[in-house]
Amino acid sequence: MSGKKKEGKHKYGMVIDLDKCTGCGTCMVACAAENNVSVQPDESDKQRSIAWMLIYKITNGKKFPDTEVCYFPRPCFHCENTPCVSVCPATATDVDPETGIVSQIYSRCIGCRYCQAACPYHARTFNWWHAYFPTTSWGPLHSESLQKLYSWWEGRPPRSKGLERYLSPEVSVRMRGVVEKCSFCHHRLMRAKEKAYMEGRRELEEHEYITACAEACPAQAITFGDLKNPNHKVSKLVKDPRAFRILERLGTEPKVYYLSSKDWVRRMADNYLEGEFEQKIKVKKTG
Amino acid sequence: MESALIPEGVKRCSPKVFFLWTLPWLGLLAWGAVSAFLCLYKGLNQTNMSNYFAFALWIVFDLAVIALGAGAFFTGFLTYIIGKKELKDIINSAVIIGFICYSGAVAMLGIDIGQPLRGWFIFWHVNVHSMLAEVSFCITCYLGVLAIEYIPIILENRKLEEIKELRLFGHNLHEIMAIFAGTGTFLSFFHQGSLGGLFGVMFARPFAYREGFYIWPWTFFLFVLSAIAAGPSFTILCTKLAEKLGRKRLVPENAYQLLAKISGYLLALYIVFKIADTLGWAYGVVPEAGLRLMDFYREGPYGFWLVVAEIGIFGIIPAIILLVPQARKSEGWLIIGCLMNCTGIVLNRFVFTIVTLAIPVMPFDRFVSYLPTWQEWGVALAVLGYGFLLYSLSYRYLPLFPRERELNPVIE
Amino acid sequence: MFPFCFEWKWDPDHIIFLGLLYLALTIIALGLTVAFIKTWIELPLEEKGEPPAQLAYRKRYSEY
Repeated sequence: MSGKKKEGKHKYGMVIDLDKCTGCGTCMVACAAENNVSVQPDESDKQRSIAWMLIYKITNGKKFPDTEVCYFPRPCFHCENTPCVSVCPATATDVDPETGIVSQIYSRCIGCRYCQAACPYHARTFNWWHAYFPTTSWGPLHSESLQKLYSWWEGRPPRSKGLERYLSPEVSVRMRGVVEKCSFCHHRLMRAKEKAYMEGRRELEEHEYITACAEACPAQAITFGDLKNPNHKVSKLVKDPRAFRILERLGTEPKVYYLSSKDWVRRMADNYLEGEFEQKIKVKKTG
Repeated sequence: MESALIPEGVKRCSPKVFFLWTLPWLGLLAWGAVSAFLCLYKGLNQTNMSNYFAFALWIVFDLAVIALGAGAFFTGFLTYIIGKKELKDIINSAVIIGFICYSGAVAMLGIDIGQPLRGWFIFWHVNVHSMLAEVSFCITCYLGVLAIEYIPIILENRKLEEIKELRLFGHNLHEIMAIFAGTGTFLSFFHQGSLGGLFGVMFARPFAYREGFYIWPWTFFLFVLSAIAAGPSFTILCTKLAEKLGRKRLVPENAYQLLAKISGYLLALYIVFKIADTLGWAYGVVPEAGLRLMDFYREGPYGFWLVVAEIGIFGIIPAIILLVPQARKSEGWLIIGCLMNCTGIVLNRFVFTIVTLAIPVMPFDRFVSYLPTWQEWGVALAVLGYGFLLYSLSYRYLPLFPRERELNPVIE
Repeated sequence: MFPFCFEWKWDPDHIIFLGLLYLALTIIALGLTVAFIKTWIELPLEEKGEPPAQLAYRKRYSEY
């Protein structure tokens, strides 16, 4: 009962160099802006906030001065052996065999959240509230007191910021009660394909399709590309001895790889029994 | 006037007492209605579910009532397919309990999904590889079967029976009940199993994941077995409760004894398989995921006591009570045994739903806690209120127990 | 659910899963139809004042 499908021509994936990542959060912001990720009424409730790209902070647990910190930016891993796709009862999520991208069809999702339960990475988030983008006016409710009353009833702040003008027309806004997740900026792939088609090409250049997080990362820690194309940087990076994936031994085959020269970081990426973890990296720090 | 509706030759309480009896259950229903309205209108933010606890109280309740409602299909199977005649005295009660459990579960699921209006997508756009799709299909169809099994009982009402068409139709349905019971057994086998499969297939959640046979993880078979072990016990409990409240005997002792014996044997068999499964998992799936058994029992309140309670206290002990004839022949022990059996199964469903989600899989992830809101309790307890109400109404106005008159002759 | 839904594939998985579903639904529907038809046939029987023993349910379920 796995979501394994026969493979197509491309396999888009990502390599995140944790040695370069500073945990600045630009990827999260860029992702949210690019993909119309809505604001929640209570953003302090992190168990219910929506983040396609989320940064986990880990430490080696040692006391000063030996403390070391590392950040795990976590998009959807677009697993090859998806735990989520095969469980969805309404076929609202699927793997595109041509690209390896795991899609989420919002207008198809019934909100049963079984995919969330099945995903061990918490890559899927549920819309506990209506999507909320502070707007300048609020439908038929022009009276300020009515707006306040309605916002109290709806449990969200009144709209007055005009944020709706910054929404991307390429990405649909999600409704309440559905699950959403990182799409590897699928609309950018569509855009790049259209451009290539107009120019009479059938193949994309490496730089033509990259995700918003990869583009925005100031430390250039995120590399995106086709894992099947030997000329793409990602397919070389995954062969790096520093490369690893999170929870690899569960067999989900994530398409997002991490690079770290620190053994304790690699050790934190998976569960190991005593004596199982091999310290592959002999060099302690690069550069 | 109301007395004309009460089955002939049996004694029921006065309308006033009956009305007072229904009040607490109506209260629960009202609480549930307010909660359901809030959840449907304002959304699931009314609950304490989160992206960590995607399944919570409602799913535990769903799994629990569906397991306990298994008495309906299993008693039907024993009565109509195997031909255990003595169970005819309790089958009506079992059917109504099943109907209550399943309709309650379906109603609760309707509120639990984020987009209730799209519920039909499960059928229309079905993903045949999803265990949840299998569950939805079988539960919906089986609810239909239960309704068909319930109709002849309703049509036996004194006033309805006076209408010839309805009377004949009811009896004709009853006559071919074996067909429905057989279909119900088939459907129930698959949805009880798929509910177990739901968790067993989550290969990225080592706490729930199980290997298995062909496409079915071992939890598939364990859920079927535990449901048919607990279902008859729940039927006994509910019927005994009706006897206590009505202060009369409703079902001959041999029907109880047969159900209790079957329940005991099945529970014993289940516990043997459950222990084997737990050992197989602890020495197979768990180390393969790089974990030790005790790693799962370190988080929050979910300690190893859960295993001891589920398998030992609420598994082995009730199995012994129900298997020893002297014990199950004593009413007190019979009730204790059935109660413990049902508790064990509810605990099992709780562990698979809540503990599976509570235990972080990524080593750097953290444990988060969950407590239901009053809205969640409202919707869940409304099923209880609805159950008491429907069972009370059925008991009052329908001849549920064919031997009631014989066991309680009315002295004029 | 139906061959005209775009998720539909003519593979063994779909045929077995939905085949069994439709089989179960057919059995339920046939059962109901039989009950309706029998009721329809038996209605005049009772009207003509035939002894109730001739009715099918009386023959088979004497205890009710």
